[in-house]
Amino acid sequence: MDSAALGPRAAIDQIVRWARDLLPDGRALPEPDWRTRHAWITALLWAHVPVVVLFGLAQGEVVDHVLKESAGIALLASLACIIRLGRKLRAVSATIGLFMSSAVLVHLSGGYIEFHFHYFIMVAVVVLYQEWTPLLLAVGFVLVQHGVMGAIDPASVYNHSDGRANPWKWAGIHAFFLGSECAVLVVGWRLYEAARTRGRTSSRQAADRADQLLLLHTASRAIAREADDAAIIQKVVETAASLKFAETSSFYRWEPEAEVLRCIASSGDDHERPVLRPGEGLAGRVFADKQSRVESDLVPLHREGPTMAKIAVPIMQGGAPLGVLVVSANQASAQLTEDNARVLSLFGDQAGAALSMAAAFEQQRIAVSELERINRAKSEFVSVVSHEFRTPLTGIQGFSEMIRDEDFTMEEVKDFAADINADAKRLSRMITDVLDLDRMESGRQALHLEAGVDLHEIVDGVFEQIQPNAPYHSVVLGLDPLVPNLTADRDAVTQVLTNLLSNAIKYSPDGGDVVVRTHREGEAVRVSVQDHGMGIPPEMLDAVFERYTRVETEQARHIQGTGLGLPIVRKIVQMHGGRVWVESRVGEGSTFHFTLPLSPARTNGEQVTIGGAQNGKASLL
Amino acid sequence: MAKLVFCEDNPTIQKMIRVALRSTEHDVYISDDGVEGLEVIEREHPDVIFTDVLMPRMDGLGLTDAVKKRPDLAHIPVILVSASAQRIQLEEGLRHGAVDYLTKPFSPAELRAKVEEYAHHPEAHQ
Repeated sequence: MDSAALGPRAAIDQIVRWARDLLPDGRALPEPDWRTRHAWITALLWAHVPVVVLFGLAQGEVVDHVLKESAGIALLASLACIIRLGRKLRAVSATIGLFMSSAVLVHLSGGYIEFHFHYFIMVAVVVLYQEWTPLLLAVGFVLVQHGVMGAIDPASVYNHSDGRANPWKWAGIHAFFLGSECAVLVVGWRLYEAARTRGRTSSRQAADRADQLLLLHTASRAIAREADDAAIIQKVVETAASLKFAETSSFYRWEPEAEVLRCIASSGDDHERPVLRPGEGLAGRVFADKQSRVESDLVPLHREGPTMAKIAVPIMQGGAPLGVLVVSANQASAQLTEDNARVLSLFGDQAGAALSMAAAFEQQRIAVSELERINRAKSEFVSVVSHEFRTPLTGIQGFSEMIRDEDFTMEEVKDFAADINADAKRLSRMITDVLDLDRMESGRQALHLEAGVDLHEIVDGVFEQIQPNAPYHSVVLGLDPLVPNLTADRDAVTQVLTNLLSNAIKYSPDGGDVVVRTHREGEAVRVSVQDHGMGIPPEMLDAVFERYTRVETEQARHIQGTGLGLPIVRKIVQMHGGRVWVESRVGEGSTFHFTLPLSPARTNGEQVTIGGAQNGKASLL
Repeated sequence: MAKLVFCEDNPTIQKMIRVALRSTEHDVYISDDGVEGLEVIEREHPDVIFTDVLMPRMDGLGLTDAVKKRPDLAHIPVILVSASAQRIQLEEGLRHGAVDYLTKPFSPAELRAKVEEYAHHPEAHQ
């Protein structure tokens, strides 16, 4: 490209642009307005027909001459009335008619100088069309008519001697006034057009804005109905992209753990999903300032193309920003303004509210489902417990009724009473279990810690109680002599071992060894109870310590329990500051491990003082 | 005089049943679970079967199914003994072919009444 050749061409272009800006455009008059104006102008033209006839006769012209001149005007007036000719030809006909009238009147008056005012009036009339063709035609007509007629027959144009002697001087004077009139009229015309354009633009803007607000209102209602974050965000992005001033939009969500803004949804086809830190990039700055922002003349980073404009608004949730909505457009296609930003901010507020609602709804849902789960577990528990209670009650009720109603020997009565007693004790133990766990879990029961507790003494005690009731099992003890005495709740530790050992026996119905091992691990003691029973499926390993959970395998189905043995174990171990876990393989057996710190007060004082803290003394004392 | 088979895993309840039915002169066979119970039923062809629902190895419903599948045993009335008072479980038992149920805890008098009802008129319940 030759820049020298471009110079003058650019200058000409510039001048044309200025001229275009300065001069009226000529297409502004709406059709109904034009029709009204044309009707009045045509009526004025028709009015000239009789005026010309009467004026001509009054001036002493022959009828024939007068009729010929008025016939020309009538013909043009008729043409102006023919709708099929179209706007331009009708205006041209009316214009020629009017100026012909001027010429005829000047001519009939014998060039009477004041009759030239008729021309000036007609120019003003023709400008009412607000079109260039009639005006230029009128000006051309006057120039040609004055020039030609003034040259051929000056007497018919100017009736005084100076006019006849110097027709060009008078033509110049007339041209000056005509030019001035045209200039004033054109300025008026231009101002009218400008006002009109402004009005149209602002009404179009208002309409656009109303459209946008309606769109956003509809979208806001739609997103308020969504209960799920992802759906809301998708809808927000789609809606933002469908705004008139927008091309693409993206949603950046704040990730508090990573402390980054991640683009999680985008309407554009580029699948870039940027990650920004607060203050970084437009979205990052908007996030940090909590203020919407408009940026223009952005040069795209990774691709060629036109400069971009972007609006970013913060999405707030209860005073804290949870994300940023960014809308972008090509610089060429849209000029993004503060007004657009305000509209988008309104929508952003709605989106924030919808997301808050969704979050609250989700929390509510989780809380409700947790309550439902607890409620179900409670009902199941009540059903399990009542089922368990009915078995000992059968013996108690049966034997006591028979003793009451029938005759037995004293020996038999004593025997039955022993059965009743055993079942009553069992029932009582079950009730104690339920209440114990409830008290421990609600924090109402503290440990009664004592120093110098011999763990192996407890193991031996439990062993002696359990072994006689397990004829098919042999309990093997592998005790580490180095285990020192503990500070612990003796009864609670006994209960832990009893529960684990009786479980080991219950869940290995085919018998086998049950091995109890102890050994010291630093400042703690570890105890393991191993059986060779049915084992626990991997997915149940954590759940077995939960209340009311029982292993639901085909084999385990028939093993009775309250579902509280292991929860009690876990609670007691935790209260001591220890840990309990299980290793298991289905069909091979399970090993339950638990640890007890040598002195729980030092490792977990908080747990120990439950209940004891009220009188300021730990139960440890 | 009739032959009765009881399947019940709890030793105290086994003993209670034995004592309660001592005066009736019926032959009472008691087994610890469903598998053992089925063997006794096959051998003795009793007039009535009472079975606990929750038992090791084979439960009461499994035993009922097994009995009802055998043409030579299907006519014997089966009465479920359950510690569950839940209707749903009892109804399930009836669907498996049991004719009646007894819920724990039960009194010796109730037990005897059920025994008399089914031992003397087994054909009425088929």
